[in-house]
Amino acid sequence: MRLRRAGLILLLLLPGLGLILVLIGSVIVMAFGQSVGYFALTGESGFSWEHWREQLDGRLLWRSFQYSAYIATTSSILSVLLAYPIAMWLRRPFRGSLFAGALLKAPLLVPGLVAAFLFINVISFHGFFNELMVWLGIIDRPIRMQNDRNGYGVIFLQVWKNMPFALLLLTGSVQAISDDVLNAARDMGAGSIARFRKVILPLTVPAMQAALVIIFIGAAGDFSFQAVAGPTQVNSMAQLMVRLKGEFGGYHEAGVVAVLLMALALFGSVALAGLTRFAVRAGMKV
Amino acid sequence: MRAGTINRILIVVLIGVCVLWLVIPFAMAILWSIVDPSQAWSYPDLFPARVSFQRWVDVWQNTALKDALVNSYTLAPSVAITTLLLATPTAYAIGRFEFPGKTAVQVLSLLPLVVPGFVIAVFMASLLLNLGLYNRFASIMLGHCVLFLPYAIRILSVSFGLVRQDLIDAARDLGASPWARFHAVYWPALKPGVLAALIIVFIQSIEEFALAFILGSPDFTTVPTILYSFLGFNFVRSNAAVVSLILVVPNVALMLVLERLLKSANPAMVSGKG
Amino acid sequence: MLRVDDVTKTFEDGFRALKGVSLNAGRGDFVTLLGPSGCGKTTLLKVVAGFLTPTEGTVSIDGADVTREPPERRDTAMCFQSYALFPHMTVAQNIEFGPRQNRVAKDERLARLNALLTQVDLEAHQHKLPNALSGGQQQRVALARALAMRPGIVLFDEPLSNLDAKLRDQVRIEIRALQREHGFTAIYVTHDQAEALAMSDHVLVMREGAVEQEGAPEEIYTAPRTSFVADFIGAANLLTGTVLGEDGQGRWQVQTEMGTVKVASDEPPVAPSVHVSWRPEDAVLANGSANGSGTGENLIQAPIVARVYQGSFTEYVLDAPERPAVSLRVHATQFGAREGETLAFHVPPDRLRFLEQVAS
Repeated sequence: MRLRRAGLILLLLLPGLGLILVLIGSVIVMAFGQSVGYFALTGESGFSWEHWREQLDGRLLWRSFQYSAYIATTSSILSVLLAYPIAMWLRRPFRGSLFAGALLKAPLLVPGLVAAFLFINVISFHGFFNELMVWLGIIDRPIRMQNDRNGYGVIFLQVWKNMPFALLLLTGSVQAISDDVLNAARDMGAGSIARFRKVILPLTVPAMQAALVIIFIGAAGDFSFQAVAGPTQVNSMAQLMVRLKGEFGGYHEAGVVAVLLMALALFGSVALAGLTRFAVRAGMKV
Repeated sequence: MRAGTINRILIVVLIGVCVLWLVIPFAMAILWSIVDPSQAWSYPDLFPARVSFQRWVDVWQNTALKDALVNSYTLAPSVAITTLLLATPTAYAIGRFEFPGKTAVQVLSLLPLVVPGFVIAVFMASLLLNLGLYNRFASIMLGHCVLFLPYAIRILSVSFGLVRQDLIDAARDLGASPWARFHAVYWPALKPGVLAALIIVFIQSIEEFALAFILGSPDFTTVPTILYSFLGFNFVRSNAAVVSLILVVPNVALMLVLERLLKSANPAMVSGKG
Repeated sequence: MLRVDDVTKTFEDGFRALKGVSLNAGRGDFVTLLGPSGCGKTTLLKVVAGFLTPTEGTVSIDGADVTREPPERRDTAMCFQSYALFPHMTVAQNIEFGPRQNRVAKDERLARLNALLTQVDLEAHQHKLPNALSGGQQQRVALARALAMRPGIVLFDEPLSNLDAKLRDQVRIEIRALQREHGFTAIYVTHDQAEALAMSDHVLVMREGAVEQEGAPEEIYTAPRTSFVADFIGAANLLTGTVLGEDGQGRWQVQTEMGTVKVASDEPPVAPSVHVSWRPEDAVLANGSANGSGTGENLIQAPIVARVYQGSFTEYVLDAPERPAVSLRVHATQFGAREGETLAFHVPPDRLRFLEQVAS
């Protein structure tokens, strides 16, 4: 009987979870395998550290790695920092709060490439922003902002697209805190800052971590924002991977980048989540 | 009263920010899409000198947009329905059964969301090459199904969890056949989730770029890949504006439908708890 | 100690939750706000706590006007209906929260914590999170957390409503014991009349944002002034009466649905047409009736419609002799009579009470 039940559940999990595990599993195996010389499409297939050595020696990979790590960290932290006060503001419904929420969440509906195009339009050499600044007399001539060297454009786009997502998670979490609990803290002498630090922050840590992790992973693996609005002298990890694969059919080289990108996504997001927890705990004690 | 005033000020500020944030970018896209080709819109004109729908006609006639639209709009419904069918058994297991390792199952089903999309795209391409499979439509469809299964599984397992056991028992007690039970008890609880899952997967599939770009290149185009080509080497602003609008407008319409749907699906009504 | 003067609270949507309520409580008093849901009792409690600012009127504690002071600066501590324990803090951290906020020295803080943990019998659970505790234990943590602030006034918002009946009796006793020990003033909100009668020194019966009647529990029970109070506190037979005349010694002839009865009252009826009430347990079964005994005035004979055995007494539901549509209830310790038989009983004239005028 128990065996039959277990069998039934396994059977039910097969088409959904099973398919996910098979496909994503083989993709990961492919990436690892090709990075160490297996599954070669042409030539010899066999174990070799050659591709790792080659890539790790080059400066291209490290610059991409650092750049993607920087974009991902900055974007995720900025998105959450911006989303917190807004989530607090929208905690309790008031006249117009639904409208405000809808406006703020609108970027969720805009596909990334469209967002990138809209942004380019606004900041381009003869875009709205430049013309406005010239018209206002703040600058004499249009300045070049597109594809800036520091990736500010990409970070802006990431925040534009992801802040609403962080807001969505945080609003849900902040609204789940009952008024009674906040009133109790108030009743016992906690002012608004103490209430935020000792009650709201610790209780919203899971939502904050989820937002940070998901935004971090997305931004670390970004291709489209980088391709359209990013600096031209450096590649993001995804961009580098696609280039290596496309330009030379270099799946082995792309494999090395893919493994490092997955490592960045995994360890970076775990570290970020851990640090958040640590920081909130410390904040509670002070 | 004081809080009310602050809120009103904040809303005005928010509307101001949103004008910068949303209205101006979209207004510019619309303007660019109606610039008449005969007369360029250039500095320092604040508005295009001549407007017409010529660009729309041009893009429609001279680019691969038609194919891309056909591709995208056959791909997305196929993906939505297939994903729904694949997700239902797993969601049923998660929503209606307790079993050891359930949390692990839920976490693992999120896997496609945490592996970067381009890693999946590139190495799925390599996997298919190794296996000698070349059907682009089928590859992208498979990829999309796996990519969006997490959403469908999550939404549907919540819906299955909302089906009330006491109502199932009552229906059985009253002699309902399996079909009658499904119709009377399961379907009312599942319907909003099913529709939400379909719409979300549909939108995601229309928008998806990485897999369509890598697996589809060079000749299989979808709306996002064609937009990318207009943004890339041969940057044609007006064409990009047209395609951007084509990509965004159905999305917004569908999301509005979804919002309606979720509002009508008051969970209190489904679960019967106030 | 606590003075609430003529407080009115109108919400933004125009709803008037409080309409000129006043309240006085001395040090160590146990005052209960009693009433059905929506009567404004919780609003009044929140005004005292400082979560709501009254539209009109003042609140003062120890002679100081605190009407505009925020809750964090009032000498009050609240026990919430939902307990409102901080889910991410252990029992000990919850209890220490208030003293920490108020920068109480560490030694003192720990001394309070340990004393309270002993008093509410939670030493063994002090490192657990609230979710790991039972409802009764959570309730005790909430109590200890409020008391750790050493407040002059403790505000209770239906603290027992989430507990089962047996536990409720036990916590009720604990609250009174703690109150006697710590000497705080308690303002206690409930809709449970039994709870109010059992715990309070002073009861305010509230209705639609105003105080309907206040007094000691015995006074409220034995001498209700309106049919609302008579009906809300305990069981009551409510009748409409027409006053026929007075015999000059405080005894009035009144015609009611159960016949013409004598009412002994110190105060004259407020109008010729008044409501009259009596408690079901005040009936005395007459001689000759099923196992009944006792003699006296106001003999009433009525057919038994239903008989409900309640253990310590039996409730008889009767049709009123003059108007069978009106039911009467009689509680008796004898239970021989059956449905269909006639029950004969007396209601002593001093047990009948005049209430408010009958609305025309």
